[in-house]
Amino acid sequence: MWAPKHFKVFFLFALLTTMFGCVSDLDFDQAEDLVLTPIIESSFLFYELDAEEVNDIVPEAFVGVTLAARDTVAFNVFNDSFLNDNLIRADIVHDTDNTLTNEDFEVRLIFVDDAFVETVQPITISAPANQNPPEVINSYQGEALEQLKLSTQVITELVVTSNAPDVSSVGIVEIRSKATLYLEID
Amino acid sequence: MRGILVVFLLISGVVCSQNKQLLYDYRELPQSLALNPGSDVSSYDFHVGFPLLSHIYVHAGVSGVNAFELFADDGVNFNTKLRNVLFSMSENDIYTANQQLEIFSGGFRPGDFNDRRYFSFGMYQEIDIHVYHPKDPAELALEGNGGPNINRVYDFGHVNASGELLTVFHFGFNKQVDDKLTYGFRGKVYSSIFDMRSTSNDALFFTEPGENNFYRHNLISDITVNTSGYASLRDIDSEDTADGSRQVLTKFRNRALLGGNIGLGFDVGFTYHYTDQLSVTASLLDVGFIRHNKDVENYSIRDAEALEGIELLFPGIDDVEDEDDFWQDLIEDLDQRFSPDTTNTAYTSWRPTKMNASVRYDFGKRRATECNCSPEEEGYLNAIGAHLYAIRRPRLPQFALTAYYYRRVSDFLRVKATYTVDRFTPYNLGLGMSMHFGNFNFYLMGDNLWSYRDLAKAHAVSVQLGFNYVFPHTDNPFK
Repeated sequence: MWAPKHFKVFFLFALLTTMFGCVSDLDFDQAEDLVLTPIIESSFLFYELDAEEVNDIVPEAFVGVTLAARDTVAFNVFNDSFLNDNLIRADIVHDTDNTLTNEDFEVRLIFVDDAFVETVQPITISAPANQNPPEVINSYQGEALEQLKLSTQVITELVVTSNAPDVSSVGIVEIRSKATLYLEID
Repeated sequence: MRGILVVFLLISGVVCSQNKQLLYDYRELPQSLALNPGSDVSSYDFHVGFPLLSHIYVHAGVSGVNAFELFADDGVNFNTKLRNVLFSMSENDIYTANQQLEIFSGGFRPGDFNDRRYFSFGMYQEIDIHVYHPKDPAELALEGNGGPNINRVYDFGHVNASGELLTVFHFGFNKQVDDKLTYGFRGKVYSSIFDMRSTSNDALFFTEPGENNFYRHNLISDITVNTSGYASLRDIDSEDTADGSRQVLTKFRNRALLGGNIGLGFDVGFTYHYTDQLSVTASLLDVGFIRHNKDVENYSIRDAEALEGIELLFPGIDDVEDEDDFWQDLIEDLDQRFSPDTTNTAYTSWRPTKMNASVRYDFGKRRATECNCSPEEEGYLNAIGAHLYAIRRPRLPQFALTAYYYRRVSDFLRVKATYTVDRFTPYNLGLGMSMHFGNFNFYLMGDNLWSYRDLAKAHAVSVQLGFNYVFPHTDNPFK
């Protein structure tokens, strides 16, 4: 037969699982402090031009600075609201290597908006003949970054800055670039 | 023995969900029949569960982290704690939740009270959510691919998750062959209400030094998400939210009553008494599948790309026209190739099959002074046993090993205490009790009692309870 004393055992069990169960002080509001700060490395632009191509495009008789080639491409990565909202710093790194024997090169990157108004100072990378200059780092934060985010197109220019083309020139000119993107997601 | 234990723990790795070690082989509760259709039902002739109250089961578990580690009010920066936790977890850690509600259940002997057959039937509703910790995607989101992570291969195959809501209709047959052997079989019809699973993904992302540029980014993707019962819910677009919920409920009700995707399965099991004191049992549950062919929407991304950035192409030098927007084209191409393709192809999901096996030793008969009946009729008052449980999960089966002690304290009260071993809760103590008022019984069971000292530090808890009406077995009720 059942007996009242067994209720005690039963309720002891119930108590174990309810009253004696306790919970440390937890502060779930801390989740609001959550900030993710990933750093993304991304290749950006690259180009390689050999001596023959250089001599093809540079007129034989010219004086001073010659624009060798120019192209405009859409650059709408900042249309992406995720990147637009969370990017707090962008470092754009360029590296050039010019093994051409005589031609000095310069590469210009011009960031513009839809109306072709420059958003930030153009990036100029010099590649003197037969040299491997140090990497050029352009870092954008704060106001400069906000300006960069207005860019919708990039104009790339190759400029020969040496005095004369040299048909006997050999070698290549290489341009490589990457972007380091610092995000702060909260 | 220790070696076997270590092997079990290594391959189990995680808390076991749906391990009902307290209810298994608890012979006077008809719900133990759900865990072994070949359960020993010789103690009753008829049972009926209280509708919606006969079996309520809730389990939640997470391995590798607990609430305290993340949310303790200890002044430590939350992001630091999150980082420490995420980096300490493995891709085999799991988040799991399981809930079952018996809607109705019953059982009877088809012939007279001496019939050795027992039929049982019922319907229950179940939610099962099982998510592996997506270690690599989480760490990529936390730190990015920069700095020391160049060359690190991120495995997006760590994404492995499933969730389903279904009802189960079942009918079981149990036969006591002789004094030694009882076996049973149960057929099941699954009625899926909602299903979402992504359990066989193969995807890699890594950044390595490039040939033409600083880096080469590699993305290889074979990712699939299957859903059924989701698309039509998403399409319910109602300004009036009350009307929207009504539509959802109507759909759920129809699907719960076999109006949705249907599956078939079975349970099988036996009990064998070597002697009247020593018995072994085993069962295999939910060997079955659901075929999803209604309201199916699948998403998949299958492609591969290695990219070193954007190669500049100049009109006049390269073979491009001034108006060619190769950059934009490249982005659009990638965007298109790595956007999910949506299909409505039917798919099959397999139920998480469970296995139970136990050995039990009964001892200690009641002294005849307590009642008029003879000790032989009363049976033993104590039992000790061991129980092995396994459940099939997408990567590896999960195991749990339990030692238990059962005591029939009185006709009114029976208790069972369990000690269960799995890797993350080495102190899993469980206690179950059933109270018997005449032919009514009520049971309440909970495990991980140790964790109730501080629930914030718990990795898993489960509770189950229910009410039944059980008509005890008599060889001849009219004598």
